[in-house]
Amino acid sequence: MSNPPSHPEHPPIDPTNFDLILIGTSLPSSILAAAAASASVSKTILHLDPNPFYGSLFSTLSPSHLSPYLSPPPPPSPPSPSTDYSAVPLFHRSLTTPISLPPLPPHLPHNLALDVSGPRVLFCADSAIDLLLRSQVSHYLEFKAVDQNLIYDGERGSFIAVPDSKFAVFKDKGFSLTEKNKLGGFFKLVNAHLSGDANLCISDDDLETPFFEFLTNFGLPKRIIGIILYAIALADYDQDNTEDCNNLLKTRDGIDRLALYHSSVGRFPNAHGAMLYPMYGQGELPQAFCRRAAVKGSIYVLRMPVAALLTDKDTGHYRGVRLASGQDIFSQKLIMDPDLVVPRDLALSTPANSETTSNHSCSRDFEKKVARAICITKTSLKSDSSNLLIVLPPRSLYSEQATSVQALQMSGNTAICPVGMFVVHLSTLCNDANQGERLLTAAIDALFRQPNSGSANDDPGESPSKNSDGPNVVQEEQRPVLEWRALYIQDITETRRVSANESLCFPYSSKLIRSWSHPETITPAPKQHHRFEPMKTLEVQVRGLGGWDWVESPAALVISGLGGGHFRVGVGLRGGECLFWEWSWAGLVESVHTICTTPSPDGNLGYNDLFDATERMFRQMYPGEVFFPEQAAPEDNEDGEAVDPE
Amino acid sequence: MHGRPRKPSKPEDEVASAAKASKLRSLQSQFLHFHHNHIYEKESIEVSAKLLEMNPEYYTAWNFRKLAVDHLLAQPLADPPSILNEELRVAESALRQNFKSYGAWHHRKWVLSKGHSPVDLELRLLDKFQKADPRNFHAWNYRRYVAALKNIAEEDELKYTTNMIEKNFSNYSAWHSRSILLSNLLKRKAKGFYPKEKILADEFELVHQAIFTDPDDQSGWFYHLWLLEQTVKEESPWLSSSWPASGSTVSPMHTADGNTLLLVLYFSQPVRGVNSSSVIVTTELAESKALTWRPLPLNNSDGARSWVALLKFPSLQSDDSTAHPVEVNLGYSAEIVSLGGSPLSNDFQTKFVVRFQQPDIQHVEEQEPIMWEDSNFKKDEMNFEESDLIPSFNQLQINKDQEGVASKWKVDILNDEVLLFRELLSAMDCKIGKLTLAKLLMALDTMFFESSGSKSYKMVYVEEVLGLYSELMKMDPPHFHYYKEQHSLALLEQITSSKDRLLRYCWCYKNSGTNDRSAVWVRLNNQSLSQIGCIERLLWVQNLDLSHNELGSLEGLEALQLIERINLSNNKLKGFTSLAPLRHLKLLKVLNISNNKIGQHTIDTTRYLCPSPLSNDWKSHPSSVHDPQLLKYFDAFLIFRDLTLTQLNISGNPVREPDFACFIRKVIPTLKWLE
Repeated sequence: MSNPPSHPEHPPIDPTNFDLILIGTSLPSSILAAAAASASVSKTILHLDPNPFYGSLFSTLSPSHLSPYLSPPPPPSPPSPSTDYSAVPLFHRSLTTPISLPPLPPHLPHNLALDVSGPRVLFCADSAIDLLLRSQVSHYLEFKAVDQNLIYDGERGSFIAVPDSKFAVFKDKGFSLTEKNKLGGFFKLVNAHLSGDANLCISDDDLETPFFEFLTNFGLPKRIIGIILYAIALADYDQDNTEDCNNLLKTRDGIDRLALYHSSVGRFPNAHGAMLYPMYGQGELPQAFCRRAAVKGSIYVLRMPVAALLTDKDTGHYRGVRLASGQDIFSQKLIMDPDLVVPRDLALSTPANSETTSNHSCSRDFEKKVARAICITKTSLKSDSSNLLIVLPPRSLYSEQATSVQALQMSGNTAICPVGMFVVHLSTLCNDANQGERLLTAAIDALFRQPNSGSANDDPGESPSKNSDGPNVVQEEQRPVLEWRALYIQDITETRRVSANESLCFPYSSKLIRSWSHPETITPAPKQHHRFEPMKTLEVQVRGLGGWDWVESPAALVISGLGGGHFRVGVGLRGGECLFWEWSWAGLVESVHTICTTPSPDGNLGYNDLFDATERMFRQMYPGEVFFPEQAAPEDNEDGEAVDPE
Repeated sequence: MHGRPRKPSKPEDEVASAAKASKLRSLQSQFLHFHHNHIYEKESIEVSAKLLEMNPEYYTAWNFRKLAVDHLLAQPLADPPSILNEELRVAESALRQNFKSYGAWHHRKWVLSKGHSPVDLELRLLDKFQKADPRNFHAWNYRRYVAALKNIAEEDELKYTTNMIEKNFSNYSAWHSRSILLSNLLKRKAKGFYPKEKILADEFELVHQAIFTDPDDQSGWFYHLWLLEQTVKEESPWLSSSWPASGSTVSPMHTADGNTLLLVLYFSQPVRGVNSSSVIVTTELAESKALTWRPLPLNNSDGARSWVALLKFPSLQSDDSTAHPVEVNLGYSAEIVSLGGSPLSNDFQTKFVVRFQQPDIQHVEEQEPIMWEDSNFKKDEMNFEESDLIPSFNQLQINKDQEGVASKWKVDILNDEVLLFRELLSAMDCKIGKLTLAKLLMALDTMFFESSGSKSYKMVYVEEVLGLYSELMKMDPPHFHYYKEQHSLALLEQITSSKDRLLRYCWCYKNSGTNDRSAVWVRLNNQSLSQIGCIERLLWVQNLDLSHNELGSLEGLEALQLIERINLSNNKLKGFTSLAPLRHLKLLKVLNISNNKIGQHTIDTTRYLCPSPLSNDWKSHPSSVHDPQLLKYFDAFLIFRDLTLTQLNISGNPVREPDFACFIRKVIPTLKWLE
């Protein structure tokens, strides 16, 4: 064991042995730290972050910090040799690619808090809110309500208020009576369905149909369908085009999202609307969880990069980390933010899996990306409200627009900027940077005015002032002047969800051993391959398999025992393709349970998927433990206190 | 607050409630001791407060506190604000216990009426209560009271209801409050609330939002019904019909008192103030000065739709065949007003001619009983069309010009509503939507008449209305009877809509002559009517067949003063008391009430609404007290004692003991034929 060199900047960490080390303070990592610290058998935890701030990709940064963070970091220094352990260098990969990051003009104040993770809100009835309350992290947070939810009407260049309840439908002056009737009827149907009365429920067959089809069959007008799909159910992709749609929302999911939205409205008496935004920015969330973990005894060290992972020279198993300061720290388990790359050989070094490691794809050419933009203005997008969400649905900006753009405007009353300023975060899913840039640029042009041009004659086709006839029309003069904007692309690391009796993560060690066309191999298990003995057929719920764009919709997952602790997993795909991976149970258990990588920010507006993925990770890591056990009552607060918009 | 299922009580709850009950009992006995001894000391007042905080429904304790307050205020050194503040506190904590406690709200009102308490506090308290339960009608009532005390403009309160409705439009109390405020504002034509049609159009617009957003929520529909009523209703009453009809020729009757002529005035709504000075009858022959106008039914002295008077001619002038014109004028004096105080809409005048006839033609004694079988009636040889036996319709001389202009907006509103609800119904099946459409169409059909001044109702929608009610009867069995009644009324509107149509229901009896009005038999049998309507268009009828219908009540029939023969067999009349309207038909000779359900129940529930042996009516017949038969059939006695029937058919009813026939013969000595 090497002696830690004394470093003036980095005093040595004591103790040197922990149950869990976390690298990076992204929201999932922070939640995991807090959860592990709150577990019934409390874990000793060291939480490191190379940055001088909390949150990593979930942080809230000032403009001067933003641009260095989004740009790729310097390569890590090579690890110093070690005698007892092999030191595997840990690579940092940047998940963000700046497209345009101009310096903030001097006339603008620099005390702005910009969210790296894009437009994001909490729904009042979210499981995330329950988690905040249960973990008592809510004590460290305050929220503001998002006053208005709007959807952009591309044809008229105007905003339509999204009706969140039948009372909002009643009040709205923009809908015809027939539209009100249809919408009211639909809300009623959904409520009846959710009430659980078997006679009123929507049939299972209907629940499996695309939501778009269901809404159309209900007889809703097209305009209303758009509102429900993109502004309430927050569908990302164009739902109209059933052939060329990456992510067709099922009725079941659509209804669930609608239910979340509806139950969110009015949950907290002092928050009208469905959505909440944390005071001081999204970065408060990881920070609050870290604080919770620290209260429970975790040790936090910022500005501390990790140079290498230490593995057992004989077995290749993970043992610890070597800090940039040179100190070696040991732990049972390791959790890393997604911008750190697992060294190739490490997790797979169990003998059973040695053959598969060679093929390990580490290139990380992520197919799924999200384009984000941050805009600064001095006037609100809508004069009568300061905090608002605007959805620009597919095809509202131009005909090839395949994904919807979400824009969240926050004002000075959330303390993210001086009063009188507005920060607008935009994001949209995209396949490549060009597509994302084009879409966001169009959205920005539709919402804002360029400071120098004075009139928007750069794009007459989309100029909303052309056919302005309603009171809601975004007049040229009403559009806020764009003071500054930043544009960047972020890769999304997929969390592959396999739901069954237990949840599994596809570890990086999986090796694609074969893919071939064979219709019968879907279900039941393939006949020709005599070694395949199906153990169980699982329903697969994979949110896109990421790396393979020809994957349409997985149909079945077959786990077949191969003997000797090995098994194969096959995913039958629509069109008769079948993919197989081969693992050993031991390797799976080892890799999942020792080193985990947390998910990156996704393209969603809500936090639910991230919170769910985090909870699943926790359950895999600590199977016997409760994820934030219910606290005994003394410091319990009422629901209302957690949310304090004023 | 609403829609919460009741949970079965747990054992521990029962223990707790038993403990509470014993505590209440001891408090109560303590309290009653103080109360009976008029002890208004500190201790006794505190006991009552404790009691009320536990059980706000205990009225006696509230009354005790009122007595105590009055007692304390009368003391020389009383400090009214502090005494009353204590009362407000008790009432408030009682309301916290049960915010629907009538006693507590009333007590608060009483305290406030003393005038020593700041009203602003009340508004703040109300805001809390109305936030906790926006539909609490106690709070809404109290709010109107406080607003009046504080002189809050009704316009502002109306805005408040708008806000509440926008928060949650499923709020009967808010809509109701709105209707009250709006009625007041419209009535006094407050600034911005005139003309009425503009306001009503805005209100329709508002309530449409609620109805279309959630058609299953009834609160909006109720407000819509109220709006419809506001749109259709005429403040001012008018004379809808009279007998003798304008322009007709009539003959007086020979009676023991000489020649008399019955005058009937029928108004569009109940009126009062009909008397010899407000109705001027001009004739050269008769004594018209001292005419006595009686309302029908008699007990409705407050106001009635029909009023009758008997015009007496001095002596028989059998050789006189000249025409004597009679003129009836009303409206010149403002005495005739509706129950709401509105005077007649116009001056009304009817002119008719009296011609004396030979007594032998006029007064034919019946030689044989009337047989109501279809075979006895015929259509041929009738020339009613040419004669004026059936009085022409809409014969009143009214200047309708202004009426027509004023009504155009009503027709417009109704037409818009009809279009809208047709659209709603095309999208969904909705009971209350169908009912509303039916009401709208019916209102339109009758409104055309009023505005156009034509000779007959247009009745363009009546078939559709009848269809809607028939559907509703099938769709919504619990409200079958209501739809049936509406169906009956619509059907009668249709039948009596024009002379031609009504002629289809007019028949001749056997060989009797056709030159006399008494020869016209109006046969509305087999129409499945459950209610009688359109009385104003049937005032002239002398022979009426309503058999084989579903009538359970004869209300309205009393205005048909000329009726001599009526067939009510095979209906659903349940007791003698339901025959009460017949008492007023002084000319009735032939009555058929066979095959009804008279006497089915030993206890006739309708009698509770009518004079009974215990009422004064009984005392006016002291001799009958000792007649056991009279006692037994007292209900029947009250009906039949006033009638001079010659023919009565009462067979097929549950009442058929032999002594009943005997009783009837005793009561109606004129009876010739009894079945």
